Amino acid sequence: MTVLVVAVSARMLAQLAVADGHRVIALDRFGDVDLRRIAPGGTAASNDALVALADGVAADAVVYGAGLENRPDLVARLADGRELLGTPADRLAAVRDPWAVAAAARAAGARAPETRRREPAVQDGAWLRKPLRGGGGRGIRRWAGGRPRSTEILQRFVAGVPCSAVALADARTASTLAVTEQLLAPRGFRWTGNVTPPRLPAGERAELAGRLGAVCDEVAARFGVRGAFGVDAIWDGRQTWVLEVNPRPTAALELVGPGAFAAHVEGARGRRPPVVPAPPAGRVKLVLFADRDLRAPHPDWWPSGLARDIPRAGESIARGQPVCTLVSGEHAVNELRAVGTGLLRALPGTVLAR
Amino acid sequence: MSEPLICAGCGLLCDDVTAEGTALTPECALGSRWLAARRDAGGAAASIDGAPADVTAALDRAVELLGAARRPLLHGFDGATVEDARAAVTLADRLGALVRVDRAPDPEAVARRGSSTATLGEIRDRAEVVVVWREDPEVTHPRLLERLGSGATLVVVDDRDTATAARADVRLRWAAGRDLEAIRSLHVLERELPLTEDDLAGELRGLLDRLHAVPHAAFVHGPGLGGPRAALALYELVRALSDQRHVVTLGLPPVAGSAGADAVLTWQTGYPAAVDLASGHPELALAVDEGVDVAVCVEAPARPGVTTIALSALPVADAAVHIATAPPGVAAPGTAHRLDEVPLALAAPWPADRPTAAQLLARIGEGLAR
Repeated sequence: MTVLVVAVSARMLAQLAVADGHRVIALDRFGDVDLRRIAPGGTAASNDALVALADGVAADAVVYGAGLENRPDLVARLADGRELLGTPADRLAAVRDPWAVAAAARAAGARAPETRRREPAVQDGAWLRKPLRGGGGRGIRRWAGGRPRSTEILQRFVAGVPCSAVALADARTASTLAVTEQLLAPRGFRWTGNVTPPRLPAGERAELAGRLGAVCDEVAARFGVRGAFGVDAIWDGRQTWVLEVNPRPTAALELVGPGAFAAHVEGARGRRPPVVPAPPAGRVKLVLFADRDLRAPHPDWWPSGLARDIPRAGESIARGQPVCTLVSGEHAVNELRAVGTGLLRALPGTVLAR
Repeated sequence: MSEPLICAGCGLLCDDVTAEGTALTPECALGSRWLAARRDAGGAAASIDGAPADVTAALDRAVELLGAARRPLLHGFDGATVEDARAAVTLADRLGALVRVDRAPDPEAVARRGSSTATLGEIRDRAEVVVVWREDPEVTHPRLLERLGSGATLVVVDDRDTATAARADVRLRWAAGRDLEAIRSLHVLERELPLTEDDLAGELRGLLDRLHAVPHAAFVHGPGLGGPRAALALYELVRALSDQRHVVTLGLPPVAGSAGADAVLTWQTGYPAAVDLASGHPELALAVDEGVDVAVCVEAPARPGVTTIALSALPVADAAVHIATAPPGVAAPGTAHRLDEVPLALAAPWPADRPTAAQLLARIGEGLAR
């Protein structure tokens, strides 16, 4: 089967699909070296432009990744004339509605932070302003009063450990593949990676996994989610607070391992997905973000077996943009962060500043 | 000669009953069975490992077992009074023990979600639609429908032809395995979102239309709902429906003592149903039951496989220690909570020279303090 993969970054999905024996055509914003080694395709700077590129691609099926779940119109366009391996476009509005997700979370015994379109009459406690159609923690900041924009919501801040579940759904039930701790930037709320399992005491991990499992099941049945998807939450030490549902394969799927794409396809086709072994403990995924404007080194410069999403030699990478991803089963989070910091620090000697 | 009685044969605690022998007026087979079992409860005052013993020796043995216990549990409360439950929490606090109301209604859903409920009188006076969800109160709570009055439309969700279903104005007959899906779908329809499965859509829309058309409605549910997920989903549905009207749930506990014991646990520890006091402060312990080595079972059947100290009016099989109590509401007074949380003072029409579970728990506590 020829599978078209469309996402902000298509490398992970393309690798998983190729590993399961599919031919892949990949369209994304980066066109990284390790993506192009396995899949032809193209790059474009926006979701609209990516989908315009896809119009001319012949493929049996299409999988969409991060960035498209907020655009049901584009998902419907991608699915025109191809088998859609994922949550259908007409299901996306509900599953991305924070109030509908909150009701699902409560029905599964979890909690959901209060969410508002307008500022509360009394500013009690801490609130965040978040893009209504956001992703990756971008654009989230503390609310310091004032009217939120029409594209924003206000959500009560919940202190705790950010976590996520990655699960497989067949539109009726879900099975959890992994529960991860999300790694955020030192300041702010930007997502930078995942570690599985979360670094919590065993009892809390079990409670969190059980609750997220119930939420995933509820989300699958209530919203008709198909294939791999994710639920983001905060664990406050006693309760699971559900923040949002990402109704498409999430970055944490990479930590699950072989068979994940085949299971995604089965779920997307409405069939109960095969059992995928739990990921080995202690796997870490860490995205390195440029701490200044950079120009990428030769691809061979990156440590093989550790670095993924490798930029093309000489590619300009602006401060704050992703440089590459490190995935390891050998390093603890802090060790991998130290490796990443060392790589970024070493870059000036090997690259030209822009 | 007939005696006035509050019947604890089920959670309704009917307080307009008289008993002659074991026959009740108004007639109630369930109530008569409850009374007969307690009026006939004879046997030894106490036993140790099945052999008759005096109460003092049995208490000494109970103190010895609990003094050596690593992970004690106090549980049961099927037929207990509020006073029994209060004494159990006091002893559990001293021991650092688990306390569990074995047949608490929807413990997980209540703990995680909270429930919106009402008294029988409020439902009788206000509800215009009563949905009985896979329960047969005509058998388990025989005078419930009478107590709720005849003004409301009675909707029965059940694919079995029960006595309650025979009285329904509207019947909905999907299989039990689809209850969670049905409740979830009602909630989805209430939020005006698309259904993922739509073969029940006609029946569900019909039910929702009925609920939307009235200012007050009630869901009557119980163990038939089939687990905590469905109870959670029902409580969340009721919350959503209450946005525009007043909707409540009324749980049908399978035993008369659980509502009172659950209330005691909640007001004394902050948590319902199952609480762990081992750490010195109360913690909700819905799923933590491992490692229990000694159990004190209060007015209920014993847990198999655990050394049990049973304090019960009825015989308890396989108890290491059993001390017979005066049956609450028959031979001993006390307070009980009706299924809608209304407290009632149980009378003791036939007093007996036996202790209550509360008195025995206090004596065990005194023994442990020595």
